[in-house]
Parts: sequence; C-alpha cells; structure tokens
Amino acid sequence: MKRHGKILEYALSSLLRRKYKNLGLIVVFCLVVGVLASVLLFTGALKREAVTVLASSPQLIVQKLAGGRHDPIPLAVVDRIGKIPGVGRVVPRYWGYYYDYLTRGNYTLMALEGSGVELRLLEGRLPTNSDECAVGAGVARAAATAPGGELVLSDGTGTYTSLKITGIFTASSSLLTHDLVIMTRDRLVTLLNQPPDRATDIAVEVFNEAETPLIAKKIKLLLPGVRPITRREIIRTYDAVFNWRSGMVLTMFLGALVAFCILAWEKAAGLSAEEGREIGILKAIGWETSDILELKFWEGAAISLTSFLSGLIIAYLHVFYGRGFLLAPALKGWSVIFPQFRLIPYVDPYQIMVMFFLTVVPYTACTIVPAWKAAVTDPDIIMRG
Amino acid sequence: MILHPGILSLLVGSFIVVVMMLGSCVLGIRIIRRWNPDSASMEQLALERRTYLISSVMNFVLGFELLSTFLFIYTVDALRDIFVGAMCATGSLNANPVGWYVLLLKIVIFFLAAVWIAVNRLDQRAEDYPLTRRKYQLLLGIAPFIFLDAYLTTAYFLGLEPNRITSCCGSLFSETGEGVAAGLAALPLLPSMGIFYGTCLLFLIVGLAALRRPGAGLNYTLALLSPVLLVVALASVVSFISLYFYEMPTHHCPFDILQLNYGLVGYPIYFTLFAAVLYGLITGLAEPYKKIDSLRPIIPDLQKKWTGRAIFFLMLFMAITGRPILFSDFSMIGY
Amino acid sequence: MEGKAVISTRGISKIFNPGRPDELTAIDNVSLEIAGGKVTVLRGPSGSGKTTLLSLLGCMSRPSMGRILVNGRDVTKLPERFLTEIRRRTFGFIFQQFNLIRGITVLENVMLPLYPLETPLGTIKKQARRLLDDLDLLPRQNVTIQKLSGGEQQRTAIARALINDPDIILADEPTAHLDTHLSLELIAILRELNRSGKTIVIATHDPMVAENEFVHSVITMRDGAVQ
Repeated sequence: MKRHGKILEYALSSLLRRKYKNLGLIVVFCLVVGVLASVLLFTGALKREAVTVLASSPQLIVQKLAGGRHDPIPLAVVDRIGKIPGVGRVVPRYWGYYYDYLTRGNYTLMALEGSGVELRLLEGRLPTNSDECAVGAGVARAAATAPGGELVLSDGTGTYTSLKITGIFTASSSLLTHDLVIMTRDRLVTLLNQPPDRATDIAVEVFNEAETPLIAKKIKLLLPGVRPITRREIIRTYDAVFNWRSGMVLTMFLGALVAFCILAWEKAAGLSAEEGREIGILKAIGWETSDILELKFWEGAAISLTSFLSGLIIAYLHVFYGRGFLLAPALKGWSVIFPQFRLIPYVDPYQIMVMFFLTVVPYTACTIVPAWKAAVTDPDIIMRG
Repeated sequence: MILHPGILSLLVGSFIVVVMMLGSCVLGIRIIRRWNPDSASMEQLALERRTYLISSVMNFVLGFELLSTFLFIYTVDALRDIFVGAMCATGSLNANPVGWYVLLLKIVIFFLAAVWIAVNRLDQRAEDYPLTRRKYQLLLGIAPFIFLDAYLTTAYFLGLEPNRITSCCGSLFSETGEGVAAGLAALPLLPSMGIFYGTCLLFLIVGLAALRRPGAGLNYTLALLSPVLLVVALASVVSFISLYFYEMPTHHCPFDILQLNYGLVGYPIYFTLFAAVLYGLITGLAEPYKKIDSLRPIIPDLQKKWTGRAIFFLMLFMAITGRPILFSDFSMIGY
Repeated sequence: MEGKAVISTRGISKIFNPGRPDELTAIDNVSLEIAGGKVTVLRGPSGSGKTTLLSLLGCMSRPSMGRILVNGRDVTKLPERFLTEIRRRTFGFIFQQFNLIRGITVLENVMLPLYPLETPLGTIKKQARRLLDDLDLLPRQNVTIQKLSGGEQQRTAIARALINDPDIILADEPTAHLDTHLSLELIAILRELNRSGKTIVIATHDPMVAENEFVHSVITMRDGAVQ
C-alpha cells in the first residue's frame, strides 16, 4: 500500500512537471466526455420529463382505425365502454393538428371538454364561448399576440375565424401546453370539419391500474376496428424514440471516439527525450518494469479521471443551466416551436457508468502498449548515453 | 437493433477486449514455443519483456469483465420498459434467453481471469519462472471464452425484439412456476437455510483446519468446496436471502439488490462471495505446483494468506446476508 | 567480505546487434574478480568497453556469453525482476552525467530509488536527510536540481547512490565533468566510503583517479578485453 502511494505521488508530480503536454489531451478528452455526457444527460432528463408528464395522461385511450389510419370515433361507443366492469369515467376527446402558414408553426388544437387542462396552468382564464381561446406560450409568441389579442385560424375552406385570446399557459407547464390552443368543442368541430356525432378519441379511466391491459383487451373484443392504447405503451414508445435518437448521436460519436483513441495512443507513445531519459534513470536506480507500468497506470488514471469529471461537470452545466443549446436541434424533433423549459437536473449513476465505459475504458486500452514500451527500457540505456 | 447507449458501450468494450486477447494469444504462442529460461539471449529477454505486456492486458481484461458484468445487468434492467411484461433485468434476459448464457459466461470468465492472474503472480515469484508455458497455455484456453462472450453479447442484443412478450422475475421466480429458477424460489425455507449455513460452516471449518494444520488434503477440499459454495450461495440468494432485503415473500429477484433503492447491498454481497470462492479455489489450485523446486518454499505461505482471506470474506458475506435475517422485523419463518 | 571476491566473471562477452551488419563486440571473453572492501579501477581509453563492463558487473544488463557471480551467486540468467532486486540491495551507481531528475528537489532525487519498496515515506526521508547532512547538502534539500552547482549535483548523485546502503559502489567516469578541485573532493568521499567497508569499482581513464594511492587494483582494458 505504501508502495502504491509513493508511486502515485511521483506520478502526479511527473504530470505536473509536464502540464502543457498533457493539457491538450485533457482538453480533448474533456470535450469528448462533455459531448457524450450532454447527450446522455439530455435524453435521460427528457425521458424523465416525458414519464412525469405522461403520468397525468389517461390510462387508456381508445382510437378508431379505418384503413389502418386514425379515424374519428362514434360517440355511441362511450356507453358501451362505460359498461365494462372496472371502467371509471369515459370521456370523449376532441383535438387535432393545425399548420399555420404564416408562422410555419404546428399547433395542437384541443377542445376544453375532455382535455384534462387545469385552470392553475393558465394566466388569465379559459374560454367560455366559441369565439374565445386559450393558447400556449409558444403559440402566443409565434402569433405575436398577448391576452386580449386575437388568433386567426383557417378551417381549410378559405374561411378565417378570429378567436379572442383569454389566457396564456404558464411557462412552467410549457412541456404540456407550449403549442396548445384550447377552444370550445363547437368551434373545434367546425374548424376541423369533424362530424358532430364523432370524437377524435376516447379517454378511459380504469380503477385498478393493473387491470388496464385486460380492459384494453376487452374493449378490443367488444369493438372491432378500434385500437386501445395504454399509457405504458406510450411510455415505451417514447423510451424507444429517445434511445434511438441518443443512440444515433452516439454512433456518430464513435467516429470521434476512434480519433480520440488514436490521439491518446500517439500522446502516450510520443515520449519526449526528457521523459525517456527520466524512465531510463528510474530503471537504472532500481525501479523495475512493473514499477514503471504502475507509474504509467497512475498517470493515465489521473488524466482520465480529471478529464472525465471535468467533462461531466461541463455537460451538467450545459444541459441543466445552458438548456443543452448545442444539442437541442438534433434531439428535440420536428416541431418548430420549442418549449423553453428547464429540465430538472438529474444524473443517473447508470449513465455515468456508460460514459465511463465509452471513454475511460478505450482510453486505458490505448495506453497499455505505449506504457509497456516505455517501461521495458533497458536499465543501462543512460549509461550508453 | 436497439441503439441504446449501454448496449453500444458494452459492444465497444467487447470489441476492444477481443482485439487485446487476440494480440495476447499471438504473443503467448510465441512464448510457449520459444521460452527458454536457461538462455540469457536477447530473444529470451525480449520474451520476458512481452510477459509484462500480457500481464497488463490480462489485468485490464479482468477489470473489464468484472465491470462489464455489472454494466450488463444494469443495461438489461434499463431495457425492461421496452419489453411487454418485463419489470426488471430478469424480464429483459428472458426476452432473449441467450442473455442468461452471457451472464453465466461473464462470471466464468471473471474466475478464469482471476485464476490466471494468481498463477501469473505465483510464477513471477520464482526465479526460473517455472509456470510460464503452462500459464500461456491457460491463456489460450481462456481466450475462446472471451470470444464467445463477445459473440453472445452481440447476439443477445441483436436478437432482442421489443414486441416479444416476456415474463418478469415475478413469474420466473414464482413458486408455482416451472424451471430451475422457480424451483429455487419454491424451496422450503428451513431446509434451504440449513443447506446454506451448513455449506458455509463446512467451508469455514475446512479453512480454519487448513490454517492450523496445512496439508494437501485440506487445501484440495477447500478448492472443491469453493464452486459448491458459489452455487449454494447464489441459489440461497434467490431462495430466501433476497426476500429479507426486499421484505417481500414473493420477490426473489437476484438483480434488484444491486439497485440504489436497496442501498446497493448487492455489491458487497456478490463481491464478498466471489472473493471467498476465488481465494478458496486458488488455495487448492496452487497445491500441485509444490512439486516444483523453486515454488515449494513460496507456496505454503501464499496458501495460508489465501485461506485466511477466503475465511474473512466468507464471514463478511455471512454477516451481510445474515443481518436482515437476524435483526429485521421481517420474518419468513412460518410463511 | 574483506578480500573475498564479491563479483566474479567467467568468460563474459557482450555483443550488441548480433547477426546484423552493425554487430559490435563490446566485451570479449573477460574473466576477473572484484575483491570485497577494496577499490578497483577499470582503466582504458574511451571505446575500450569499461562502461559496458561496469553495467554488466552492476547487473544492469546481461552478458551474451559467460557467467557473472555476485556474492557467489550466479546471476547470469536471472529474470529482470530478480536482477533488479539484487541491484537494489547490493549496488549504488554514480553515473558520468549524474543523471539526476530535473524539476524535483535534491531530497526527492535522493529518495527515489526506495519509492518502489514498502518502506514508509517517513523512514526514507529521515535516511535521505542523514545522508545529505553527511555530505553537507542538508541546507539545499528543497532546491531543484537546475539550481545546483556542479559539485552539489555530484554530491546529490552520491547521496542517491547510498540511500539503499549498498555494499558495492560503481562509478562510471565520475570525474569526467568535474574540475580538479571537485575531482579531489570526489576522491576524498570515495576514500571515506571505502574506509567504512564499501567495495568501490570505478571505470575511468582519468590518471588522477587511476593512479591515486587509495586504489588497490587496476584492471586495464583495450578493445573489450582485459590486458
């Protein structure tokens, strides 16, 4: 133990004596870890947000399919579903997407009834008649309006409707509401040209969460041509998408990793004359090959751990305080309207383990052969001058 | 394929280890053919120097296999949400049964690599490096396991289909199910405890006897008991030990104790168990080498040290696993 | 120890780059004995092989042929690990160019040979300070090498060679970079060390050393062979 401590001490002093040589490597290593960690922290935080958000979504959503595609569902099924044992409230939902040519933004239009939207999320008030609406912060910004202002929407037949904005959703709810426009059902049905006896889909409450898959099965048997979607399935899909996205970025990162490993190898192999001389002296005065190997190991450990921790800290600050500005475009998706939300800081120990494996492990592997080459220096090399 | 960061890191690591092992095998073959301790030639010196490289590589491989076992478990646990029916690592492993083989293989490789490192240390303490050829033959024997591990790990992840319905530990380890795992879960409590503590006690007795009166018989017995201890202990973790940590009579999963919400207690449990088994094993494995003159004076002291460590770690293992059994309010007796 | 051969060689040769166009026989069939407790000089012009012979005697390299015995023990075929162990215990080296490590202090340089051992740092420090005190270097213990004079560097190198309390001191052209005054100082130190029982072997072509009265025997070398 004492031996390890002394060799470690010498390793650190050796690194400090050559700080500029190693600084370049540490900076690159740090950046590599920083990028990787940013990706993992960002997607991890988004995933957690999604799960938290989805926790308040309906346990079961029933959609009608026609020709394999989503079709408005007849209101008549509401009673039939309601009669299934274990089912609580059955609420028809009305919503759709709206593309605004002027702002090039995609809005989500939703009817107040069945939306699950709560007053506390709003600055102002919810719409009380069909000429009013409440909008999310992203919509307000895109349309350059404020409460009391107007939102102009087209129903696709050339008819333009102007709605008075009675409230804007708060920033803290922005993940849910950013691109939302809430209006009355009548107005929505007119705008979306939906038949009056149909809803977009049905939200079903289930008393016992564990029964959800069973009830989904029953609904499917009861109503052919209908697709029940459980909350768990949605979470799975999000998970898969986030994994896929981060996995894609990481795969591209592998190229950078290979380049970094080559750099690490070169740095480790490129012993300066002074370093070579030092190792020769150590061997001559009684240090054994395994002692030099241990010295090199500690040097590598110091460099990699310093870079790893620095990279992690930089990534943490970038993602949770800088809003991941460098990565957002690649990871957030197709919507032009990005919520300006703050992700909740969270670091999963598993993520740290993964980052360690993707950076420190390849780095260590690349330095083994150069370290060995240095360590097997002839002890009499300095005598031969 | 699932582009999951954990999967990528495992595959990158496996690739690196395969490349390093290939290199070591090539060097090892040369050493086996040309090693001549009676020669003072430059070639012999060069071969001697190569042995340091291979030792460094094997240390790396051991470290990697140990860490990657935990990374593997955590990754399959993180994948559970992708599979219908999976609630933890067990579910993901069941989604593609190759996964269980990967886990088993990683444990085997850990022990093989650790034994190799022990043989290496032993060899280097004798002035004529008497075990060199044998050591590298052993290396060539270990390499296929590592290649297989890389192959199976890749096959496991590539063969995962998110839509496959799998079963989780609740049903795998359920008392009413079928299969080995269910069988373990269904073992009655008192006989299980009896077998477990009996095996531990036997191991301790043999170990203490070997310390007081060292001899080939006791050392070999200890080595033979070691794998038995491993199997019995792992079975007991599934059968009843884990229950006390979860405080749930039906939660038999051997992986959840590695999670943060159980205080990461799985780490000290598995670490102490593996350490005890390893030290018991190498105590006996060193025995035949006493025939070699240069090793004869060295081995007995080492065996004593290893036996002492085996006993220490086993007692620590028993203390950690016994604590909730003895001191918590939860009791399985009579359940 | 006194008088008995501490190092003996039997027909050793050292060939660099064997079988290649630049093959060089640095040492050719040398058999000699170094007596314990005495001062032996290996004398010869540059290129005569004295440095190579010194490194062989000091277990820093292996001969291509022949045998070397240290304190009666054949070390020729010992693996590097054990050779280093013997070197650590038995020998202290003073190099031609001092070969001190720049950027660290006098004290650290002196302690360095003992770092890989299990000796606690505190013990090593005490030992090092004692040696520096004997050599009048204690006030300079925390100074880095670059700031030392030639004489101070020489004494630091000697202190480092003595930290492991070796029985045999090997010095390779120790006066090559010293003026007359410092050379005499060095000879005085070596004489003291010999008086305290240490065996000294010096490779040199400097007559000030080779012809000094404290030398007990001279081995003359030319072209890798003993005359």
